[in-house]
Order: sequence, then C-alpha cells, then structure tokens
Amino acid sequence: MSGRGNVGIEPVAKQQVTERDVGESRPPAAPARRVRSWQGNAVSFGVALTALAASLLVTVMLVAFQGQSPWNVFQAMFHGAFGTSQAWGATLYNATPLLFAAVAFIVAQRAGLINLGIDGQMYLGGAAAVAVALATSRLPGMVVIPLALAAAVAAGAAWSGLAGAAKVRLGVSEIITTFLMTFLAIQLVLYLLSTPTLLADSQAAQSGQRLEQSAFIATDARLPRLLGQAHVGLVVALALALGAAAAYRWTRFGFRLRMLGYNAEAARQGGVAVGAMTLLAMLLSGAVGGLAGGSLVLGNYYRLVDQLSPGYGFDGIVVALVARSSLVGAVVSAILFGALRTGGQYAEAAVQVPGSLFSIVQGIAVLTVVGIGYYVDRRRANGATWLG
Amino acid sequence: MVGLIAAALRLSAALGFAALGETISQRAGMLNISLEGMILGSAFASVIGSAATGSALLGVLSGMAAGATVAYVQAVFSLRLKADQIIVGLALNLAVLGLTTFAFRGLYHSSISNVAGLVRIDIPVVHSIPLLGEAVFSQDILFYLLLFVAAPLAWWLLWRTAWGLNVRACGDNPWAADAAGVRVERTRLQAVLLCGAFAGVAGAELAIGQLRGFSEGMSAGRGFLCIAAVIFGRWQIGGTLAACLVFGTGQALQFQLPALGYSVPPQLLVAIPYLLALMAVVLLGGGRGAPAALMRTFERRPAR
Repeated sequence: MSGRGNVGIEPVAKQQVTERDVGESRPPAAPARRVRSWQGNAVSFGVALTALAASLLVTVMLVAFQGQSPWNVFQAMFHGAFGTSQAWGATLYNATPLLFAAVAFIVAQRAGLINLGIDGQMYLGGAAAVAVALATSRLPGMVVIPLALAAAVAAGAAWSGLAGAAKVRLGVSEIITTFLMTFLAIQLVLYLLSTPTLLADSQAAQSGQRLEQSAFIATDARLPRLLGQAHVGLVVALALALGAAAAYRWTRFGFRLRMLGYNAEAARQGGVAVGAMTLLAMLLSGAVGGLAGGSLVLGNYYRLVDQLSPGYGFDGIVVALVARSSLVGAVVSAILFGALRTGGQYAEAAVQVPGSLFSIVQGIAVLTVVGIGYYVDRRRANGATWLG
Repeated sequence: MVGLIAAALRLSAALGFAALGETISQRAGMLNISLEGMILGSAFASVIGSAATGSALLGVLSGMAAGATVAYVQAVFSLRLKADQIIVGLALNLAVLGLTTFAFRGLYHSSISNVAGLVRIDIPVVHSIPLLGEAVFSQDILFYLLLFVAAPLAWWLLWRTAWGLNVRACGDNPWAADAAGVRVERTRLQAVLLCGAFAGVAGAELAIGQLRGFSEGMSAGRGFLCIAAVIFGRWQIGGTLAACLVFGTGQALQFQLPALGYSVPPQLLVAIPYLLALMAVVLLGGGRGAPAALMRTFERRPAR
C-alpha cells in the first residue's frame, strides 16, 4: 500500500472478503532462511556495535537528565567491568549463564524452533545437579561434578523434550509450550525447596526457618575458580559455543540440523528425518539450558536458591539476538552484557546511578538491532550483495 | 466466602480487559508479548495521571494512552520493520520495566500520595442479594464496564463488523486478504493499538482501582497470564473471559485458602493457570482454533 517496489500480486478486483473465505484458506509455508556469507557476518557485527552505541547514547541522555555527569558514569562502568582482574572475573562470572542461555536458544533457532523455556530448564537442571551432589556427598569431587552436571543435562533435556515431542507428535507450537512450561518448572522447583526433601536445608528446617534454599554442597563438589569469581563453568560454556559452531560448519549432523532450520520441506526431500531431528534439536537445546542451571548451582551459588535465574533465559535470548544468532558472536555479546551488568552494579554503588538503566539499555539494544537489521535485509533483498 | 468471590472477580477484572484486547490482536495475527509492558506502563501512567489531576477518569485515560504508546512501538517494529514479534515484545518489556522503575524512583522517592482511586459502586437492589449480591454487585466501576460494555463491544467488533472480518482475515491468511484488497498492515496496526488501549484500562484498574499506587514491576507477569488466558479461551471472547475468571479465582485462592484453613502449596496455585493453558493447548488439538497466521510476518513479496 505504500508504493514501495512493485507488487508481484495484483489484486484481482476489489472484492469483499466474505465470512466464507476467513478461516478456510491456509497461509503459504514460511519462507526459508538465508545463508550468510562473511560479508553478512561483518555487517551483523557492525549492526550489533551500532545497537550498543545507540543504547549507550540513551543511557547518556537519561543520566544527564538526572543531573549527573555521563562521563563519570561511563568511567565507573568501565572500571567496574574491566578495570581490575577482580572486575574481569565478575564480568566473566556474569557472562557465563548468559552464554549458556544464548547457545541454548541458538541451537533451537537453527533448527527452526524457538525455545522460550530456558529459565525453566535452568531451574530443573540446577535442582537435579544439587540433588545428585547432596546425595553423593561422600564421593570425591572428580566423580560428583560430572555426575551432577550429567543429571542437570538430563533434566533440562527431558523437560524440553516434552515440548519437542508435543511439537512432533501433536503439532503443538513449541513457542507456547516451552513458554508455559517455564512457569511450571519454576514453581515445581520452589515447591521441592519448601518441602522436606533431599533438596531442603535440614538444618534450617530444624531451627524452623523459612526454607528458600537448599543445603550447601560439599566443598570439593564446587566448580573451581579461575579468575576472581569466574569459574570453570565459563570454560564449559565457551567449549560448547565454539564446539557447536564447529559442528554446524564441519559435520554432517550439523549440516542436517541447519538444513532443518533453513527449509524443513527441502530437508525432508533431502532425506533428513524431520521429526526425529526436531525432537533432537529441542533435546539439545534443553540440555544446554539444564547445563546452565548446573553451572549456576555448582559454580555460582553452591546451593539451590529460589532466585536461581533472575531472567537469564530471556536475557540469553537478547544476547543471542544482538549477536544476530552467531555462536561466536554470542561469546562476545555475552561478555559485553556481563560487563554491562557488572559495570552497572559498580556504577550504582559508586556514582548512584539506578540499576534500572540496565534494563533500558538491554531493551533499546535489541530494538536497535532489530531496526537496523530491517534496513540491512531490505537492501539485501533489493540486490545489494555486499551486505552478504 | 463472600470475600473470596469478590476478590476473585476483582482479580479477574484486572486480567479481563487486557485479555480482551489481546484476543482481538491475536485474531489479527499479532502476538503481543509486550502486553506485560503495556500493563505496567499504563499502571504507572494512570497513577501519575490521577495524582496530577485528582481525577480517576483522567488517570484511566492516561493509562490508555500509555498502553497505546507501547502498543504503537510494538506495531512499528513488528509491522513496518518486519521484526520477529516475540523478540520485540521481550525487548519492550525490558525497556518499559526499566523506564518505569527509573521514572518512579526519579520522581517519587518512596510512594505516591493522593492517588485518586476508583470508587466502589453498589448497584441498588441486586446488591442486597445474600452472599452473591454483595460479592458481585459491589465492585468498582471498571468491573461493570468490563462485563456489560467492553466484552460485548469486543465481541461485536470482532464478529459483527466488516472491520472485525478483516481482522480475522489478516490473522488467518494475510496474503489472501491482501489480494482481496484488505490493508493488512493498517488493520493489524489498528488491532494492536486497540489491544494497547484495553491493556491501558487493565493497568489503570490494577493501579488505581485495586492497589491504589504504583510499585516497581507491579504487573508481575499478568501480561503473560493474559496470553495464557487467550490460548485457554481458544481465541474466543467468551472463552477468554471465562479463562480470566478461572485464573482470577486461582489468584484469589492463593491468599484466601490459607485463611480458610486448607493447606495447599502456594506454588501449585501459582502454577495452575499455566497448567490449565498448557493442557488446553496440548489436549484440545495443539493450537487448532488459533489464527493460522499468528506471529507470521506479513510481506507483500515473501523474503527470498
């Protein structure tokens, strides 16, 4: 209607849409995703940078509006995030769950699925890891840690697998199911925490306190620290991200998974078992989410707490989106958002800037990425191949 | 018992308006995850509006304006810029949460005083019916508006007007609707803006009708509950309202059951709405009844 470009379909006549037409026809199949070349990746990187610059600009305006010096605020944020090795440790510590969540989201997205249940998978994974760690507290750490993480992986995968099975067998949209199941998972874990089960803190129960976290896990079941607060979980997340990127590019399995995402119908014609692969992709995505939870309980909190994930799942989606769904880009993006959080906390204490700015920055960053992405895609569709 | 019914109806009303709007919007094919942001933003705006002017009506109108503004941003990014609706919704929720918190802390350091609240109205004769009368007919004005004006209006709009037909066409097959001459982007925009206005009323009901004030993040997931209500109600007006009633009852039970002496784990009560919606989706045919082109971005020429 806007006169932009030529319309491939000419309206036959200005017919009235009748009641009969509505609800009977089906929309055309979803269009395939584009393959991205190196120019495309470079452009995506530029887009992400611009987005962060735009959101920082908004931060400047808000801070100035509050009557403070933006320069001071940025200095404080930078120092808080990157100034000392302690700061770096905190930044990487905050980045780890974000990276896990982003990888989980991207793995599903590349198979054409949207996993909104990462938070729930984290909670269940964390619960499973703590349960195993507490149950095997007599065994050495070398045994407990892999066992606990494996339990976390299994729990997360099982939960997302339910949604995947519903999608494959019943045709239910995984967006709706994973989204709703998140709340169920969180409430389930909270319930387990509050009743006298393996998870609950028996000492606290005896003294009559309100149960909001589990007992601490044994010292050698905890993930060793690397730098400041950052722990081995970061290495796991990095290995996952880079390993997955390599698998997608260089293995047949990765290729098939990608094909599923580009065009399911073509994949089916090409011999890919679409149903099985879809389920597998959901399982993998949930496995990573569960692993994230395991990393949180074994490395961050050393116990199961009721505020295990303050929205890491959705923040991870933001991280993935700003990275334009690139696994390698997600590493950089996660570190940047980790820095935002650490720097923001430091600035809040040092220069009295409210933490709510962090949310605004995230929101604006995503909207900017999306907005610029539109223009890039428009240009690309009209023939600008240099954009990849 | 009376208290339970009254509370259930009150809580349902806060969900009801937003769910009505979301039904219309989803019928047009737009899933507004930013509903949460619309409710929160309008709650904030309605408090500011009513505190500044001393009039509850102006407070409600400010809420509607705020809701429509958030809806407009969602629409611009999803319709003009062809962005994924879910991503935009999540980002908007974050932004609105941050902005309202920032503004609230900046303007009012603790709490807001002189909020003009909504008056409770007792309907004369019916009010005296024992038990039910006092619970049902002693609510604030927005509740009655919902039941007797907004819901029939929404139903009529969606099912008895040409505009509603176009809306449903956009939700089921926008390409066919476009070929028939319907202005898809415009219709979807209108549906989303209407949803924002409805959500604005919901936010106002929450802030100045029930809680008489603003606190950070006070929408507390109601937007997502409303989306679950639309799914559970099978995208029908009546079904959605019934779903809101069920969910509102669940919320009321959360507080009332312990007082009544039953010990049900609170987590179960919180989980019930989502469980119900999930069962509805899985058991009743996986989204059959959903607008076929829900969440699909409409483009004249599909992206290569």
